[in-house]
Amino acid sequence: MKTSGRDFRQAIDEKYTPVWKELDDVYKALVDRANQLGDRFLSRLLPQLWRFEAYQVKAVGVWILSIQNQRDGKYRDLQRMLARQNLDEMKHTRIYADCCIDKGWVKSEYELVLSPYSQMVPAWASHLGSMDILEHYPPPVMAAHQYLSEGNALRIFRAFARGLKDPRAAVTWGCQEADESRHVGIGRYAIDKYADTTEIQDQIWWYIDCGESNAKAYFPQWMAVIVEEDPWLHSIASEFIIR
Amino acid sequence: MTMPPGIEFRGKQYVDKILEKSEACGRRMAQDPIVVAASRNELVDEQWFKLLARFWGMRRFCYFIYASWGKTNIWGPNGEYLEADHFIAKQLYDESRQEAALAELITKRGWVGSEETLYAHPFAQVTDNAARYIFWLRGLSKFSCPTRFAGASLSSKVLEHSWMMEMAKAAGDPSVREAFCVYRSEAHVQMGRVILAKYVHGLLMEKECTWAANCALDLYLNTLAELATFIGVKDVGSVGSGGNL
Repeated sequence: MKTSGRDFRQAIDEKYTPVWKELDDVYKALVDRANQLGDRFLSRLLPQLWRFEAYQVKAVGVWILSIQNQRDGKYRDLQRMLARQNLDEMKHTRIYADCCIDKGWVKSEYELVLSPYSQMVPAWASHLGSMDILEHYPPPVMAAHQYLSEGNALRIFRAFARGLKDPRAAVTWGCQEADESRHVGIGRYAIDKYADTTEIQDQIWWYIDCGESNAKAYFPQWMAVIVEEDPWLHSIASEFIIR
Repeated sequence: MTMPPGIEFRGKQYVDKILEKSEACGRRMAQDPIVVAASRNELVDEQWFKLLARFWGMRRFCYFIYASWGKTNIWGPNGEYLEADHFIAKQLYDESRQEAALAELITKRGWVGSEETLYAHPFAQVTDNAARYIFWLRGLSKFSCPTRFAGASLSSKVLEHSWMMEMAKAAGDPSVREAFCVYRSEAHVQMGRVILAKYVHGLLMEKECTWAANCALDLYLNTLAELATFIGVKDVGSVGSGGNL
């Protein structure tokens, strides 16, 4: 039986709502740890995020390119939203870079290019590659990435914005909340509107499975770069996954 | 402004030279036949529709042009061209805003039944000179970052800025004026200025940038001439060719 895009998205919600609730607790614990470690944690986390956002701009560009120029203008709404998201992601790189400069970790954004802490862990590069691969799939599959991955990012950002004691670093996440919410909204809107065939829905489930598997690989690697000698973070890293 | 290590504004003089020519061409936009006809209030409804639909059709391609530029902009080992990513993202969003504004204006006027039908409307199809200009911009993604900005921001975008400002002045209708003003073309010229001033050095690089700017000026002027013919305005005085820098 054919399921509407909206019903399909609700099936995703049903599967992931318990996971999201569990992850909220993990993120709160992570923020508590970040408060204990202070700049030692943040000076490694922010360059990683800076690099990730900078490359995400390119992934969003790939998605824009993947939308076919159709005679009925199908997906035009999505393409316009992605143009805005492209600018948002670029703005986020500046937000992270400004914080790194204000905190005195680097003198300019250019230094971040060479910073050892901004070098991407292999599994994170795979994650970005998985975003690029979406150009070969129908746009609703990309929307599912938006819905889940940006939704996850939004939860982490909220936790850091509200729980971090360092006000300068906390604001870097606080000021991104509206943008991240909009990106999740893009995903929700596009799934509801366009993910209305069994074929597309199957492709979305496949992509979600791959995303989970990759998240299991990249969070531990990422944590190892951020605080390599911290056993607590190593242990939480293995829990820091979407099951 | 912070710079990558070892980089100074070496190309500043070259930027002044290239802009002098483009701005001279831009000043002639007041004599563009479409601008003259609009300022004399001689454009009828169908001509406005043709003009805005064709212009919208060109904007549609900007998603594919600037997303491609962004995708293929590779940083240098010391972060060279990093700022180009910022500029391209901004440009892409500005193009998108104008594309959406034009589509909304055309639909609200009732010139098309719905926005969907605009995509297949004959007036909105990009052909000949306009297509050559669009393909040129997309093709620039194969070239170095300074060449891209020379072949758009410091040449055709200077003309486009002048033309749109003249059109905004000439259009009596505030909603049409707004659709032209929503586009931040002056900022795009400044982006080109920064990229070339920072990164153009050496005769070979200058030569390629000059070639790109010359091509873009001619392609854009030809596009405007074609647009005038398409909407059926009388040739009240040609703005001439771009000439060579």
